[in-house]
Amino acid sequence: MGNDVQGLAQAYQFLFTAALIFLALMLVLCLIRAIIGPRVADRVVAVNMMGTMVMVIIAILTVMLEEGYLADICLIYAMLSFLAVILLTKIYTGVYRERKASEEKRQAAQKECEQAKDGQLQGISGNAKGV
Amino acid sequence: MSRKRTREEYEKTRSFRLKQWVDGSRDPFLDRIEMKPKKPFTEPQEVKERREVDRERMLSRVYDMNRNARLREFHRLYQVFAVLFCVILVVMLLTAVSWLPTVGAEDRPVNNEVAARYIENGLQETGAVNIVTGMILDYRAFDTLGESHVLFTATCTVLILLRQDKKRKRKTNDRMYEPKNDVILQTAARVLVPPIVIFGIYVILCGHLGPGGGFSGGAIIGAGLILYLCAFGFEKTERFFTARTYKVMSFCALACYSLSKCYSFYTGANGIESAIPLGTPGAILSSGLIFVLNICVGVVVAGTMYTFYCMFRKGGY
Amino acid sequence: MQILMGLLLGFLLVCAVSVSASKSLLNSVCIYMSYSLVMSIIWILLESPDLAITEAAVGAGITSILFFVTLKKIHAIVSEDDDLEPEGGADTEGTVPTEGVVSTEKDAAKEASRA
Repeated sequence: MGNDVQGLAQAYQFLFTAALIFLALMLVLCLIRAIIGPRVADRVVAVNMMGTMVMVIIAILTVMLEEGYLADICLIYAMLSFLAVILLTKIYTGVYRERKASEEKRQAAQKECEQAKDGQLQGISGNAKGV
Repeated sequence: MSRKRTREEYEKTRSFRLKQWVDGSRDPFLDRIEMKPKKPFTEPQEVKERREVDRERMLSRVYDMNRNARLREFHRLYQVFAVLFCVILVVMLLTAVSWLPTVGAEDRPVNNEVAARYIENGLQETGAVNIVTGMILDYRAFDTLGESHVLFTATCTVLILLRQDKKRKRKTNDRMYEPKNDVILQTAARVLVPPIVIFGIYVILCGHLGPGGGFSGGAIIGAGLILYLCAFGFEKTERFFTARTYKVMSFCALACYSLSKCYSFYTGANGIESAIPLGTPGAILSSGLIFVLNICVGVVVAGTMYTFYCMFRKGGY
Repeated sequence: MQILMGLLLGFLLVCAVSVSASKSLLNSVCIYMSYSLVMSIIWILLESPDLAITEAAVGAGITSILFFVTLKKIHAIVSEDDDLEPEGGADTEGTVPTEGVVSTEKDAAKEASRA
């Protein structure tokens, strides 16, 4: 870009390099959130954001190195990181719902147990009174 | 004539007592023989002490962190020595790497005439603008054939380990609680899956013109199929992609690859010029057999990726 | 360029250490995916676009997706509590048991507190 004017080409190179370094710093911050994040949602969102930032980095490299075929890599990442996040959330939602369903079943069973015990006690005391 | 007996009468007969003796459910000597009076059970002191000493010894050797003091010490020492060992290994390897020659220096044995030949005559002899594709699918196509067979073996292994009989159905479904038939995902999949498959086909076909080739293109098509499966479920996907489709696909692709390589071996070994034209470099229909081989490899990889996913999720399709 | 390369290599080091040091398998797989992302940028900086495309397709696509499905199959995904306490959450996230073991421990605790 800007090959006809000498100063402009250098300015562009400087701009691209600065943008790349800034984006790399942001990548590191996202990684820290992915490592620390106590919940799974934190990690999934951090990894997705890292994918988007990597796409932007590759797009800037495409313009900087002036090689058009590197844009294909951007497209691949756009599609595949989308698919990975969808799959992960689907699996995790399944696990979460399964755990909720089993807890509800257990609570319902406990309530039945208690009701049966109360019913027995009342029945026994009723018999005692009757006798 | 005989009549049926009741249970109490039967229990007084001899045959019942014989049966009890044979089965061992009744002791024949009880109530019949004079027996010595039973003594209370006393252990001599030495036996008791030895038993307790043995028990202490066993407990001190049990593989339990809470009770075994020696195990705890070993665990701590192990952690320290593991870190030390890793650090020493890393330092050794880094020193070895720093002695390697710099990349691209001229007087190193790596830069010999083979690499020079590939780079200088690659475009003429293979017709592929992308020298890497020309190398893996023309100069070294036999290695790529081996790799395709490795993929095939891996699929066979996964099939052996994970396939489930249709007759013996699982009682619980792995995917019972997952969200199904989400409208947003289905709309997005309808819009996205065609471009993904087309992009995968583009990457496969333009393997000799730009980076890409059979492997990455196949992975992209496989990912597109997986997205369709996630959005629409197994029944709709099995309308067009079943196990039989995969078997036919991968067999045809591998056979086609092997036959093409046979042709190349035949012409190469006998010094005949191959009849397949190389075309103009830069056009799609160029570089002879590389075009066909890319398609074969891409088909195998796409089917394999989708098969692995289905095997892991459902155990069969 | 050198600074960029240095930053990315530092990223890789931190990723690699935390993949082995993290307690939950799901965490390890997510960070492994990000390792592959940055590896792809480094391949471009080292002037090999073929490797970059293959790393993109294989790392983000095949490895990550298949690892997630494997984790689901071996029941290594432990879901967290709603009211997340740091110590309680760390305990349940730290182990890799089956779902049944976690729930029966909580069940036993509930019954013990009730009785």
